[in-house]
Amino acid sequence: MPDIHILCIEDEPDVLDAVLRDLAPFEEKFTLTGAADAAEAREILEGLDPENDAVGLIFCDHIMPGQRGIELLIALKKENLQPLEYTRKVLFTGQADHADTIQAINEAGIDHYLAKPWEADELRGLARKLLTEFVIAARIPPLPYMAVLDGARLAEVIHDRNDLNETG
Amino acid sequence: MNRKTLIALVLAVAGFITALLLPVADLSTAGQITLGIFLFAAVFWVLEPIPIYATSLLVILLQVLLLSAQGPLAQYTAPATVQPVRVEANVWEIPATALTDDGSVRVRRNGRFQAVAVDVRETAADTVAVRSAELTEDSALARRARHWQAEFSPPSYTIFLNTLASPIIILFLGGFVMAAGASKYRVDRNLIRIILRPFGTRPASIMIGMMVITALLSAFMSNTATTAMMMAVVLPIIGAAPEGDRFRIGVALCIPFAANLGGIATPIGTPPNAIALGALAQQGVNIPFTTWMGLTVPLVVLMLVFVWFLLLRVFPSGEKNLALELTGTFETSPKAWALYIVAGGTILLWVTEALHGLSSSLVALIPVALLTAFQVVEKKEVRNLPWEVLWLMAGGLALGVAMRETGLAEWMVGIVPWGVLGAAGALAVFGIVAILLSNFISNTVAATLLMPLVMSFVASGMAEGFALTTAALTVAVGTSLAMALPVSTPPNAIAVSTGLIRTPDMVKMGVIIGTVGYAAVLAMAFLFWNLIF
Amino acid sequence: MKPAKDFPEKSGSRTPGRESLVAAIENICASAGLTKQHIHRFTSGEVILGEGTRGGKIGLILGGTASLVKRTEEGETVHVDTVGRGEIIGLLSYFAREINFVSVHAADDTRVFLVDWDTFDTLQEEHPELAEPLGHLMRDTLMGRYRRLVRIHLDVARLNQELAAERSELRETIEELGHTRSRLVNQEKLAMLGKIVAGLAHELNNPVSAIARNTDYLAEILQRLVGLDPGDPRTRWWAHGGDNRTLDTRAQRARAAELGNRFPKVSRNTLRRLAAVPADLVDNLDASPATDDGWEDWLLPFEAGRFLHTLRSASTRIARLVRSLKNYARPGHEALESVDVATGLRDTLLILAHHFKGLEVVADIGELPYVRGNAGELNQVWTNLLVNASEAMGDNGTLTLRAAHTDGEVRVTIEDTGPGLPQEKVDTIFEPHYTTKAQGGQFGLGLGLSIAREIVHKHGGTIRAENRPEGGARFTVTLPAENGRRG
Repeated sequence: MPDIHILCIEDEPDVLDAVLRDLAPFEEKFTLTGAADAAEAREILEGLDPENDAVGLIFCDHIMPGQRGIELLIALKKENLQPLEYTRKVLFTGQADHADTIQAINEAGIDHYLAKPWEADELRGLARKLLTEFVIAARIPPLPYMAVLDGARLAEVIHDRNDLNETG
Repeated sequence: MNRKTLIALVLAVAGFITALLLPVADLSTAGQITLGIFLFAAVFWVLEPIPIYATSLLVILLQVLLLSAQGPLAQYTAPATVQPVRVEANVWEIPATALTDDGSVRVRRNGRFQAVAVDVRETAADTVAVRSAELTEDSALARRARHWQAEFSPPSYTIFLNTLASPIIILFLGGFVMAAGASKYRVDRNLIRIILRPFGTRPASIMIGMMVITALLSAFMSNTATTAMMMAVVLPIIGAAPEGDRFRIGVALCIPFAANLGGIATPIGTPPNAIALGALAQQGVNIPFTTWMGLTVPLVVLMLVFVWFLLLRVFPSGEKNLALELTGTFETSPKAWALYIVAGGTILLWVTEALHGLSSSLVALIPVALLTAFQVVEKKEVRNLPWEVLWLMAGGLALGVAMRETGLAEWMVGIVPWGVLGAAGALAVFGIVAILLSNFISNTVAATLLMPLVMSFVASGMAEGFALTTAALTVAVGTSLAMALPVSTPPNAIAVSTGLIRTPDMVKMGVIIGTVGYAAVLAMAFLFWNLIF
Repeated sequence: MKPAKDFPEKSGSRTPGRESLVAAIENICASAGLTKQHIHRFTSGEVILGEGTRGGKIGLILGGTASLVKRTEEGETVHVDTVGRGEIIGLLSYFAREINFVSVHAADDTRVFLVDWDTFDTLQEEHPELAEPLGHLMRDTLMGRYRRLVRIHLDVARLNQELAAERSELRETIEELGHTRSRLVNQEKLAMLGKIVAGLAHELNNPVSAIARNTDYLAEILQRLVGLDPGDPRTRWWAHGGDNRTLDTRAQRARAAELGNRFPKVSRNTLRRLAAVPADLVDNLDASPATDDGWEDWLLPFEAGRFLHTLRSASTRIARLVRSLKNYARPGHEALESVDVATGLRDTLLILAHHFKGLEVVADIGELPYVRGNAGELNQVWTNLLVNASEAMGDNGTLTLRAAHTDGEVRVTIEDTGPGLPQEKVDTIFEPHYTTKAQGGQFGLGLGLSIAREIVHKHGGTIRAENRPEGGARFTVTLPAENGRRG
């Protein structure tokens, strides 16, 4: 079972705190990490072990000191780090204009926009959906994640894949 | 290599070597080799340093290498032969080593050594004179009567390989192919909708409805796949129920339990059934599809009703009604129709075996051939079939073959003083061992390990008054009744993974079901199955 | 229309005067008894020769005037010329033997010697004395016509010139109008936006006050509810929740790892939360809990304290922003007022803060006198210059804002460390046509430097752009201080 990370990048400590707190229910099965800026996020990502670590989800603020959110995500996409192969990405932003949006979708492979202020349930629902997609896409055995993620979808995957059967 | 793997490897090799070095007089060398393989496999199957199907293949490999006539061991250790020297009419001088303790010699005929009883006339330092009418000057006697190949003629390696395509494996393959087609065309999901509808919206009715459909599907499909699919259907429904409603636990439990029980109902329901049928077939007993169902369905129905009452009582629903919104339509493409007809026809042929006499394994080839011919099941689905389940069963069957051939099974039965228990008591012990063991290890493996012992126990005549079938059923059904722990069966694992069930809930219910089920199996064995055979 | 000058009516020809020629003809006609037969009288408007008709007539006007009229292709009639005594009409068609090219109408009572072509020829044969004066008159008529034609061409050319000049003048005017219009629209938009923002800021005040007040009440109530008495060590955890965060995320991660080694049974969630607690609180416990549940008793008061603190500082922040917003976007009054430039600069900086993320902002705003003018408009100038400066730098650099009082002037300089202005454009950067990016700016903030200049000029100030020797651009605005008032 790989160590799946949820990485939240946000420069305002109070906001980062709130995001992490909202995502705490996932901490039972996932490693939840906060970073204050792009450089720190990079540091964390580079410290991952490609054998055992995978990043399931990145929540990234857009307007940050230093590298901006979209730029970081584009750079990461280009670099093609292995733990980021199937990572789902959410741009977390108070404001983004049209050009940024298009760029984000075309170049950074953003899966979702989340506008601030957010609702805890909305954030958790989104994380649940995207992490479920991640587990399926990365072909990680879904059984351990059924309780915190979308159990019905994962059950479906177990059924369709037929890879958990009477021998197990 | 992690610690668990290392421990398993050390234990398995130690078991193997111990078996070979064991100073046992009444077990042949081949039996010792088989015991070694048995211990090795048992350790690997229980501790699972490698997947259990891989262990199965390893078992077949070891048997081919160590026990078959074509294997290197047999090739390089062929026993030397001598010809008897004629002393007078029917009296022959032979090397002392060629004579066994019980006064016989091993004569090679048609490539196999056979025991020929002789009268010992005279004993010299290293030769003996024996009297026998069966020996000739051309007879090839094993120079050493205790040579392992003189005691046990290694069979052709095909006897082990054949298990990979034995009739029971083909029967399962038929089931797998139909299940793959059903899954592809969503027949399973649509059946749920149709069967569940008449059960209305009362929670209690819905629960028994779910149990019926789960049991029904898992009788023909894999228990795990059935559970996974039912969970996919059911989770959104019970997710809508109020958070604290205990009924959610009940529903989440009823599905794996019903799936485990449903697997008992047909020969193809679950691999332990195959192990039982395979073992019976080796003893020359062939159980038709419908006979199996006739023997097991009453038990399954009884247990389903019991589980239903139990769960309803322990996890009552706070709601009056539960909304079930199941949608979907049956596909009507030509391929889908081909699937409906072939699958329906196959099941019809299975349950009417008494009328036409075509064995179920033979019938099972029909869906395999036709569904692939019509391309209902295509390459992608063929690749996705659970081949490893077939390999697991084949390994089990192969081990059973070797245990019987080498006399190991008989020997192992013999070392337990069954006389103390009596036949019925012995059967009860086998039953409880089956349930206990398969709570911790794979049901198939438990059946694999126990079945040869049970078979030789009954065949040896110790279990007077008990039919082979009764004994095989007791063990096979017993393994399927093990559902106390999340690790007991994959359906249990799925149910616990949903997070709706706490492990203690499952353990409590599973222990009760196991106990009651055990009593029911014994009752069936003594009062029903045994009266038929 | 002025007639073309340099074409004399008479070119000093040797021919006898026209009047004598006509008189001669009249005499000959009278003496030959042709008058009665060939001299016709027309009243005003009567057609003498019809255009397009094969009249076959030629005439000599003896008295009154006649109009030559040509019908255009569109069917309008255009006055071509006016002819009087002594002019020959129907001359062209006579020579070409064609249909009449123009029609001739009598303009008043007109007397015309009018004969058909054959008669004309016969008369000249019969009365050879007529031929000479008629020939002279014909030539005279043709020359006159030609002269007028040349003059018309000259007039047309001159007219075209005048028209082109007028047209370009018009274009400039329209362009000017467009600029004025867009400026007006922008000002109108701004005024509207100012009103909306001011109203919004006012509306925001109430909820912000509610949050701020209720946070304080909540703190009191919570403290009483949980019943922590002052001696309970957990009150320290509660109180320290409000401390400024001591560890950044990096240090917190390291701390969580360290705590994980110390408390192996504690879950990741608890460890992460515990890492946010000041180390001395955790390290100085008499008996450290070993489990999640044990730590929860300590973490809950700490986190409650921290969230309350966060709430408080967040509401303070909103309140400050709302106040700045109200100042910044006060509805534009036409009337001049005393403007505190320092406040305007500070508010603008605060409101644009998100724009400067990643930039180092140096603000040196000294004590400034008031300026007579319009606060909203001046804020637009600051916004414009600041946004331009930050956008020139991208995501890193230093933005320097200085404001000082020198010699009765307020001098505001805004410097960036970006690439600077293109040298050839330093002088034209305030022209209306100069844009470095899409007009209006990315966030609708920049109004363009030309408008900034206009606003500054309106306030009697100056604005200047230059490149700094050490790199980057510098904009300097000076505004005259209001007499006798200090900000």
